[in-house]
Amino acid sequence: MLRWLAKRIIAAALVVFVVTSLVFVVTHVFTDPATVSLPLEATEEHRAQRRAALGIDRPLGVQYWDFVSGLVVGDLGESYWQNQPASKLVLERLPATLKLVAGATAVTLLLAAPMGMLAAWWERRFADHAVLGFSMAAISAPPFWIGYLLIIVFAVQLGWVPTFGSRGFVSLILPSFAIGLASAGRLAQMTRRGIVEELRKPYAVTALSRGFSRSYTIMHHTFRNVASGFVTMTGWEVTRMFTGYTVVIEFVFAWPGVGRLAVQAIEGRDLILVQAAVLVLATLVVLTNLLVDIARRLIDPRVELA
Amino acid sequence: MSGANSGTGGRTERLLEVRELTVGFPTRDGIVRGVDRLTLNVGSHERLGVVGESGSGKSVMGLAILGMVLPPGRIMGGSVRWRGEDVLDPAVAGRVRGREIAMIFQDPMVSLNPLKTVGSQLRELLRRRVGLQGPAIRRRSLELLDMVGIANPGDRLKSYAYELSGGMRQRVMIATALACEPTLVIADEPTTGLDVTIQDQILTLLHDLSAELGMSVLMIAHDLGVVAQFCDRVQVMYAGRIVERAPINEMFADPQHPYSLGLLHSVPRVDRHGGELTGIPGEPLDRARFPPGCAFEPRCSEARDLCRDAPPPLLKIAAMRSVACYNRHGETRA
Amino acid sequence: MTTVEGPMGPTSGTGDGEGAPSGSVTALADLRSHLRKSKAGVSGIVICSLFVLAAVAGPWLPLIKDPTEQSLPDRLTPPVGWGGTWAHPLGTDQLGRDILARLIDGARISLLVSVTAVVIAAVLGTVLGLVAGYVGGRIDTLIVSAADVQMAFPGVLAGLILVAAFGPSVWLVIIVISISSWMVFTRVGRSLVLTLKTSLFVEASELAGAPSYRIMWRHLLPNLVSSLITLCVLELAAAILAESAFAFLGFGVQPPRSSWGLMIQQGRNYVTDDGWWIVTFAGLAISVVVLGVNLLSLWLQSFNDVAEREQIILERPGA
Repeated sequence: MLRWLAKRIIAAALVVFVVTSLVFVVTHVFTDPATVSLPLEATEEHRAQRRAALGIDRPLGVQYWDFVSGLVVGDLGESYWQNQPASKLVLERLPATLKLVAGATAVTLLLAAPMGMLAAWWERRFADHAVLGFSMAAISAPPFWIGYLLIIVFAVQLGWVPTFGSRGFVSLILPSFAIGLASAGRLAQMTRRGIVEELRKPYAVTALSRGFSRSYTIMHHTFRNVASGFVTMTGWEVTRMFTGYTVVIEFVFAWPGVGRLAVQAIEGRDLILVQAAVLVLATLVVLTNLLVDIARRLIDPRVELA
Repeated sequence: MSGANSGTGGRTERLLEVRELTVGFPTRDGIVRGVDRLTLNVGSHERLGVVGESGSGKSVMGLAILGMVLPPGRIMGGSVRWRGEDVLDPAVAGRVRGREIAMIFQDPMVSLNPLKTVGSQLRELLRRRVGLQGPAIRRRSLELLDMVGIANPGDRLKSYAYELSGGMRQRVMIATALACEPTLVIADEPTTGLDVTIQDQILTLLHDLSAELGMSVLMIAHDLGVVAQFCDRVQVMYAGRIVERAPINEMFADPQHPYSLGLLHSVPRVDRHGGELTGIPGEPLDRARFPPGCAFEPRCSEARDLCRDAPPPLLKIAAMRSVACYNRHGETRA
Repeated sequence: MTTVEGPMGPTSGTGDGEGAPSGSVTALADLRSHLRKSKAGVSGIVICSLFVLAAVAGPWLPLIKDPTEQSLPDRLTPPVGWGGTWAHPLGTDQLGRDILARLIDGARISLLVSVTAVVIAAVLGTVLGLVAGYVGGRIDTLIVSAADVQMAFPGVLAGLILVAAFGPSVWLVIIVISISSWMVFTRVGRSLVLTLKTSLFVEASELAGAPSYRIMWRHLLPNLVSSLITLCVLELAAAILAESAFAFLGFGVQPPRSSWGLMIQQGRNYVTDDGWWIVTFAGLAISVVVLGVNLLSLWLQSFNDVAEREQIILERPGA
């Protein structure tokens, strides 16, 4: 287990390294932070000045070395737009994003697990079709639109929750649902399919033939066997949240997270800050994948992961 | 084997009565009947064999007797009664399954839960289906494993199915079936996939246990050899229907249906060493393309025009003997 | 008394004669008869057809107004049923433009971007998958690791960096969607090739000395087509959603051109006041189209499933 874990961590670190290098190629070879930060009509003199200030006049190899050695100590460069270290700006916003992802994951799990089990329990009956209908609707609607619908209904019409911003737990509810509904739809279908497939397997047929009820068999026999797939899919949904949903939903709800920071940084033509936000989000994705692998390994000892 | 228990004396009580049971599976070409108007009885202390090749509907039958059909299949008609009660009623089924009728499946590798130990699978049965508590559970678990001939039962309780040999797994499977002291055991090809020597051990074990515990057995098999060692009566199944029923010794001495004859010829026999092993000519049936008449007609050497028009009914031709073949209905037994 | 009973009687359907299971004519007939029984399949095809019609024939449709025509006196007219008139059935936006006309106009960019992106991803991903699966060795390892890294570095993040570096544009959105989708085709294509590689017909052509590209093109690719089409439809739904998200963030189409995502972004300030219909209808358009594509993909999958399930029932030993 320890050797496996070590190998897995090294692999994850390698992915982070490859990703950072790719990002560097885009941000320093194809263009550079100075060019991005300046308007097109800027004079050549002005450009040279900015290049020197940002250290971009040096050879690429030196810049790359600086970049990588900076990463190791957590230095992600200086934000031009805010005149502050990029890492500080991103880390300030990180708790808000983590809170949002936690809320959305909670919504996802609380909806998906019971819905998937109900649909499998009542396979081909009304509940199954109803869950399928919900899932299809949830995965077809763009999450940012769901966000606005929730605002229109629950904040504007009913006035139950605040519209925008992050003021405590209550304001977390709408954005969590806006993200969590689609994830729950996918996960519920996956859970249902997994349980239904397991229920057809000989061991489940044996359990049913011994007189255990369908619900008991689902809860005590199949669910554990479905669990490893469930954890993998949940992890996959969490990575989707980190990389897509939070960016859009933070924009909708003016939520002060990393995704919103990245969008603001793009508007502020601050390539260094965008790069920092993206690298932090990518690292979170890699970490999530790592945790998922460990969880799967603990659930099902037969899982051998390369 | 002797037909000692097969007598019609008043001592045998009717346990299981299946009437006209039909199970259908929807396919793109319509509904295929996995089991077609099946009728059979099992009495107390009786060992009945059902024989047919792959695809004849035997396994579907075994589950359907417990009121279970894998979706999208469903029970389309008929009745199953256990001591007079309707097993197709979910409330009755919940009581009967496992406790009165227990099933043993053909592939114990996949029929035992891969993520639970032998002990936890037995414990769950004894606690939830029998109602044992505390140390009695462990005592009974050890006793059950001992009954099915497993050495070091204490160690085996901690094993997972994949850690056991094939024969061992089937013994565990039998132990879980016996846990609730059932009156009838349905054994669905319990020896398939096992070594020949192990097959023999498992059959002997089942035979001895059924005699010892007074259980009836419904043995589902694809060759008559297994049934010959074991059963009192036998029914031959083809394409979801019973085509012949007879006491076991009469089936061997004088098979009536051409399909039974074919099955009999494909049993390897020690006393005819060197003799050729005749298979049944023709392809095994394709269930989606049934002829409207007798299902066996395309492979039958004695087929007549009549056979192509409508399926022959299962008619009684002698005491305890019935056959579904036009060519045999007119005759009396030789 | 027949044992097979079906709505069309025992003689129709597919199983007649010697049964050529993979002939394309039979497959098409199969598909059509299966479609007749599937409400989801029919609704999916109807929605997708309307979508394509709106995208292709939009400007020539009768009774539809000019989507760019502004009319400030008519600004924020509500839809019919909420105090509006049939002059603007779905109301107008903040500049008095007709929402229905703008929705139809938005279909064009949505279809263009999503289809182009999926085609690029499918071609690139399938070629890489074929090569990885068929050639194997170092090249396989390289392609598989690239797909793994891509999985860990989803396209949206790449999109943020690229937009920051090069500024927003439609082509960038297409590229970003393609790079977040190619590895799906690579993985599926590769795993299918690995199972096909050992089959007799491939080994026979190898013995006959056919060159690799020919084996991949003539023997492997045709066997992947049905799975890849199903996958394309699935990815198309994701691509339409991604396009709308980028447009919504302002990273895709730039005004005065419009798309559904951009309509939501521009209408979002009127959500809390009297202008809920802009966001609502634009989002509804995206949702309905994506739902149509999803229904289509569900139906295609169920079609494959039924074929598979039927086999399982009939081939299960002892069944």
